Amino acid sequence: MQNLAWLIPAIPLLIYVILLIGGKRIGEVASATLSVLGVGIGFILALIVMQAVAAHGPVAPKVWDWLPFGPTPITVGFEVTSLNSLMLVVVTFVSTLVFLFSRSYMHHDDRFVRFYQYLNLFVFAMLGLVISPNTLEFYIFWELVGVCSYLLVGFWYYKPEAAAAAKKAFIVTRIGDVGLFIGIILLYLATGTFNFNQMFAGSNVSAPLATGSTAGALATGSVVPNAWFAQHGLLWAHWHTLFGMTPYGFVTLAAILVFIGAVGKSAQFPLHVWLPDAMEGPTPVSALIHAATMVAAGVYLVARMFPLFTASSGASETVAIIGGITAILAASIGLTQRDIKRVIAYSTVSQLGYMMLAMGVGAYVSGVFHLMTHAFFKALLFLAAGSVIHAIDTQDLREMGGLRKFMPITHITFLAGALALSGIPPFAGFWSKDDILSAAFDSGHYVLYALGLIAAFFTAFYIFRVYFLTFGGTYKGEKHPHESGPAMTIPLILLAILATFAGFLNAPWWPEIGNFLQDRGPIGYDPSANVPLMVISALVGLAGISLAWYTYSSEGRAERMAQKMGFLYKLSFNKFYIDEAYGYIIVWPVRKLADLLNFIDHWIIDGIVRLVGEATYLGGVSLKYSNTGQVQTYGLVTLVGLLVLVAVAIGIGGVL
Amino acid sequence: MANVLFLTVLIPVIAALLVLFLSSRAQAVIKGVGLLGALIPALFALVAYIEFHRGGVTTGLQYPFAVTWLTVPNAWLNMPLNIQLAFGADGISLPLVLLTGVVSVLAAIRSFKIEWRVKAHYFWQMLLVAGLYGVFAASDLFTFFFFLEWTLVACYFLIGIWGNERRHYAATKFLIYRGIASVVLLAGFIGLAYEYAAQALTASSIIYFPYAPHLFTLSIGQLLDEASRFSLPSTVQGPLFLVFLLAVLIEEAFVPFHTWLPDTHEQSDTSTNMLIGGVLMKVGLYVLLRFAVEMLPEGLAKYGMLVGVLGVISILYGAFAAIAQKDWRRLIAFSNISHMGLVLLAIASMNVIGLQGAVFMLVSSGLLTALLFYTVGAQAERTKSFTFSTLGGLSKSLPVISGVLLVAALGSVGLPGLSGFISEFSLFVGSFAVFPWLSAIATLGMIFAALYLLYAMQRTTFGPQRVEYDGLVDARASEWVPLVVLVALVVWIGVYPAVLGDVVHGTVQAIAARIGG
Repeated sequence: MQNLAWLIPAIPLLIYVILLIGGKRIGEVASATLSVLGVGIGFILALIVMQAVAAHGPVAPKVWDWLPFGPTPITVGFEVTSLNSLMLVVVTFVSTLVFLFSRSYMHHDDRFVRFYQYLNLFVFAMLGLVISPNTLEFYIFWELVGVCSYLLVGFWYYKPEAAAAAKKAFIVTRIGDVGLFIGIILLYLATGTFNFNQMFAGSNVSAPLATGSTAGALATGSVVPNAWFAQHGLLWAHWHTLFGMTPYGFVTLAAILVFIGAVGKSAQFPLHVWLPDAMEGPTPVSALIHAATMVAAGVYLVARMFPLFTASSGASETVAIIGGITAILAASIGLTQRDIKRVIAYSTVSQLGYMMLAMGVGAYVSGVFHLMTHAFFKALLFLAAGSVIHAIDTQDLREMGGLRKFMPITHITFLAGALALSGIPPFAGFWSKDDILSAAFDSGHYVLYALGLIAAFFTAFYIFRVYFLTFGGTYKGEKHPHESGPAMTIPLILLAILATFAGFLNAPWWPEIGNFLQDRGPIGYDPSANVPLMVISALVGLAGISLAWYTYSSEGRAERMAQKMGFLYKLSFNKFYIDEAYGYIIVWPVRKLADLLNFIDHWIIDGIVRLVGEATYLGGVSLKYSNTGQVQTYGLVTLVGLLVLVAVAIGIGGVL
Repeated sequence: MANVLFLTVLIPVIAALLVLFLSSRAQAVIKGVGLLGALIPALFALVAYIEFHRGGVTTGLQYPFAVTWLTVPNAWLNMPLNIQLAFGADGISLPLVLLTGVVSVLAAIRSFKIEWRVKAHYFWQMLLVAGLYGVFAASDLFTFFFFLEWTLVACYFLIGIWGNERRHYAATKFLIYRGIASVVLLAGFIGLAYEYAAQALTASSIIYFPYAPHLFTLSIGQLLDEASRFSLPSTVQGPLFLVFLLAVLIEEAFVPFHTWLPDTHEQSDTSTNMLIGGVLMKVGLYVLLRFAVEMLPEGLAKYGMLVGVLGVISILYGAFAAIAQKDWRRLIAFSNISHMGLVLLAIASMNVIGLQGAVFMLVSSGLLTALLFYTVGAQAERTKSFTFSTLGGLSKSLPVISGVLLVAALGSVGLPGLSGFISEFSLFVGSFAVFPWLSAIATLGMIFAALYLLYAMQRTTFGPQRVEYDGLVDARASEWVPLVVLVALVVWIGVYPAVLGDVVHGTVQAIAARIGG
């Protein structure tokens, strides 16, 4: 059954083509139905594939020649491993619900069919990325995911903010992409292959079916340069002799370059600035980007390349530290934002930081597990927020309140998502986040553990701040809010069930996911239950919720507290001025430099050219007056010229 | 079909002459003849592609055709010299012949919109097309140079008559720059012929050598073969290479010899821009690939670092200048300067992957440039504007043109699935192997490309629609052809690059094996 895995991305691609050709003629009902069915079938297939992997183990990649290239052709194809079969299930599940939700949310939009067309391409790209057996194919889909988010964030192209946000998302992630691009090239030049399996041969995570290859040495931190490249005097000689770079140094460099790609895509500090702006897109797109597709790709990349990171402690420390910083930074920004989607967006950044932290401290299973639970509760939170926005037509938390009465289903499902995010047992987020914190603690990263714990406190506070402001108190707006229709509430209910119970899939006494992912032997560090730490996490979450309740239970108390915090409040509210800093340090100088260069180009480089042209012209114009027709004058000039020439010849010591 | 290449050159010439004899009022007939004059050679180019011998390491020029025009007995040291009209193609030139075919047909279709001096326009356009085929298909230095000059004259008139306000200035600038490049190139050709003849003479006294008494030759095929048998002394290769390099820097508008290109593109009409930007601007780098890489490998190796640095300068300079442009055509010109810098870097790396990437990039950039000029021209026909400050929100009234413009822009950015990506990727693999630091700096060009192209898109198709652009008519039937053909090709190469790689790979492998990459 694993051989059918290619169908899972192929179906959305096919539907994309149908919608591209059919356009508006297809209509809202048909395009939405087709899309939901397509990705829904994909979900069922993904379940079957996962079941087959669980029963029979992964199968060898199926590849075909793509392009003659160097010593061996580049191939494309697909493969199924336990990691990517799990991803297939999560991505198709969340996508199906988002597709269903969009039916209602995008109803009556002018470009309804176009919207579904882009959604299908987006999901195709993400699924293709997941089943790629080599780095180049991975990168192709990786970029395609990026461009789809560009199209979808900028879907309401007539809104200037949306146009700016789309461009920002593309360019900021592009910076990371270039890092990954270089990383892939260096790994190819060192190992002679793009295939994950060959690259990491000898390591169980990515190479269950490894064939003997010299390249496998990468997994253990020693690079054996590929024979063909070595023979042709390429790369390795340069790095080794020119820079005195050791194999360990090379692996670290390559791993960090790959990680830069993940930093861009998964919105880690310092490239996190695009994700909160990306909420200018329609809300279902935010749910898709934040839960199932775009940002998950970065974490998946680190998981897929896990052997590379384990081979370099320097690189994994970097991953852990960036993850920890991102988790606390984004959580502290989330405390004060006024836009409901923006708070949830910063929450995503922060949660992705946890996942990176997990990968960095070697907790592979915990990171992947958190990726999964987060996909459920974050999709839930975004869709619930979408349901609210759809009902009252504003995203400003100050204009909400009291929606509990009007929107009971949205309220209860949002509450489940908020509890999961806050890490309150037994909700899903508790188990996965606690795993990560335990792993950080066990591996001796006490500072990172502390940061994670503080971030967890912030998280519980900000999400319940949203909860109390939206659903608690009395309604402050002027609309007449009402519960959304079944196309929107059914996805909410299903996701709420998962946000509540999915944690049990890898609970300490029943580590189903862990066993599945480690079917070929242990990978990284899989923490065991640590009851004191679990109690601490749960208490921290409850403390955050209590503080939120205290703050927002009484009118005006929040404002007084914000005033007391003064500078810190401003710092958080203005997102630590990071956007502004980039504006002054990068954007402004680039613009000015470009203008300066353009000025030089026009007035100096082209100026000299025009000057030469003018001089030639003037020379011709003035010389025409020497054409007098008087033979005596010509004779005199000739004589003078000859004398000058003779004098010069004598002066330089003979004629040549 | 051994004569296909000759026919690709001959038919546009016949079409040009036919146009000359038609009444200038028979505009429809002239346009029909012009279209056929571009279409039939393109089909021959397609035949050449289909029947091209692929597989393994392929050497030599296929579809050889040669007519001796003039023989000079005892031209030098008792050796006779044949001046020939000769054609032939290998895996480097055939893709460019095909590119010429595609772009020339679409340019001929675009020229349907010309209303002023139609007859003269098609006459010069057909001559330009013939010249372009002639340059890429030439297997003789004389033939090459002859057709290169031919393109110069044709472009001069196309810019100078059908261009915009400052067309005379632009045409003259174009003529002077490329004229100087031609003179330098001619010096290089003469040096090449003499040096190879002298060296062949020396070689023939030691080993058996099949070309006596025609050791003094202008035949590219023979020179390539000789280059595989012996090499010129490096004291000769170095200076001679520098001569070629100078010619290419001017011809290809590399920094600091670039200022003529933005002016040319800003002042030319769309069909001429498609031919110049899409095809003619690939000639210089083709010269470098054909003559420098293959015939002067030691010269290139000696100055490889210099070439790489010049490439990176153009990449960054072009990208930065593009950010500051206010006009689409100037932006495309600077973007091209930046992209051609990448090719220079790849050529400097002198290995099989880099060279393959270089050829891919020439073709890909040719298609994308033609597509950019076409779509930008199509919107300008409606909005009467190329400047960002007066554009905006075109997605609403021109969804198709805006969509294709986005495809072209993303292709230039190097988005996978479109032809630009695999080109960029291959040439970076090649260059990282040899110049890691330079290549790392060059990757900044990838970020800047996204910056200036998406910024341009933001100001053109995004944003609220301007009232004056209400109710513009989107792409018409005749406009669908260029849009669909170019997008299809760009996607095809992007999704299945072997369609081009099969042809290129054998030749670059042979070259790389010979020059030791």
